Amino acid sequence: MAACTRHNETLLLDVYGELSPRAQAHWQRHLDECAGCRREKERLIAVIRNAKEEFLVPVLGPVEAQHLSAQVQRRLRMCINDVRPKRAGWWLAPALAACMVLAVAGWFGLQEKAGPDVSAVNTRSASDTAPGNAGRVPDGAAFDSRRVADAGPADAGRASDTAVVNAGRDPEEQIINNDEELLENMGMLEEMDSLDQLARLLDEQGRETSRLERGADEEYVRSLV
Amino acid sequence: MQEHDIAKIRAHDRDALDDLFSRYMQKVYAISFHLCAGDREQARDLAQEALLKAVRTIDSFRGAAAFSTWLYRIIYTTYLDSRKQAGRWAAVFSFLRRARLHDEAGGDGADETPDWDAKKNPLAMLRENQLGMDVRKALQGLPDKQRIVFQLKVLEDMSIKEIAHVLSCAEGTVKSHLFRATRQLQKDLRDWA
Repeated sequence: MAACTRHNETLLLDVYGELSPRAQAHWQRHLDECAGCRREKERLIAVIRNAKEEFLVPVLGPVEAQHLSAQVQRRLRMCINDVRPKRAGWWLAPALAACMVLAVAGWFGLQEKAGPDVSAVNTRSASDTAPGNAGRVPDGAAFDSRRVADAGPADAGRASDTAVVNAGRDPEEQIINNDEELLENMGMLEEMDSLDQLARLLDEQGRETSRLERGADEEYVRSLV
Repeated sequence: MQEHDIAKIRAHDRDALDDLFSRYMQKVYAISFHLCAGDREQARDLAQEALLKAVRTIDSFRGAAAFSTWLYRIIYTTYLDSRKQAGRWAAVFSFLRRARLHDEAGGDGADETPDWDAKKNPLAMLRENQLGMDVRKALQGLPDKQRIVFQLKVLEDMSIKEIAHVLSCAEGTVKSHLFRATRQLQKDLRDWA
């Protein structure tokens, strides 16, 4: 037999002991007559009992309770006396962070601005590295500066001429121009290497000749003696 | 809590504070434990925060309700504040908390080596452990408000009026939450009826 649905609230209030004495007496009369409501009440009481028995709250041990109490009292004293240690230079970290953000944003801004215009980058890198070294790709800037310093004013003049020529060209043309110039530089470097090797060879031959001459001289002196 | 005790607490008298803490510490912790859905560490933090707040704002206690009700209300508002503060980060890292809760539940439950007391029937012990786990699971599955109302009513023996005061809502709302929670638990635990 099912419980009466119209007594649902009264049933739950009864289970939780929240009925007034008068309502309780009235409800009790109904319970005496209704087996469904009686059974439902028993079921609900069982559910509540199970929950109460099984959901145990861990108890704070005396040490833990004392520790908690001491912590609250310590924090309270700190609040009263306002003895919270004032962090020296608290503004330093945010200020540094702001500076770093500005520096990074500035750097990226410059990159963004310089990125599409190759000739602008080249001109800047050239002016940074060596006078008259304009028109080189940025990666080769250091190499170019050495190269210009070694090669003399003629090459430097040519490089600056290239920059002037590049200024009015398409980016593709500029890249091709830069590549050609790079190949030219490589060729010159190879020439320099060949010259260096030749000089080394001549030096070795000279040394050999002088050694042979010295040996011949010594032999001549010995024969005289 | 008497008027003169409260006056002493206002003056931050050490003995009065000790008395207050020793009298209410367990109850405050128990309610914090229910509010934090069984997380012991959070419950300890909440209890500490609530007690501190209670002592600092004791001037706001005017005796309209019982001191305990006023104190429990502070626990609940502190809990709401902490939840607000935790905000999204709590959601992001909730999987860690769930894992820890699962570990704790596992430690109390079937994974724990049973105490093989000769007087107890092992089958009955396993059955009890299973029931405990099912009750915890059913309670955790309830919406927050329903769970809190049910726990305050059943486990802390608070009246509906008192709960309404603590949660700052109408008695009808408390009844509604309580009845829904009871019916849901009855449904979830019908195998144990």
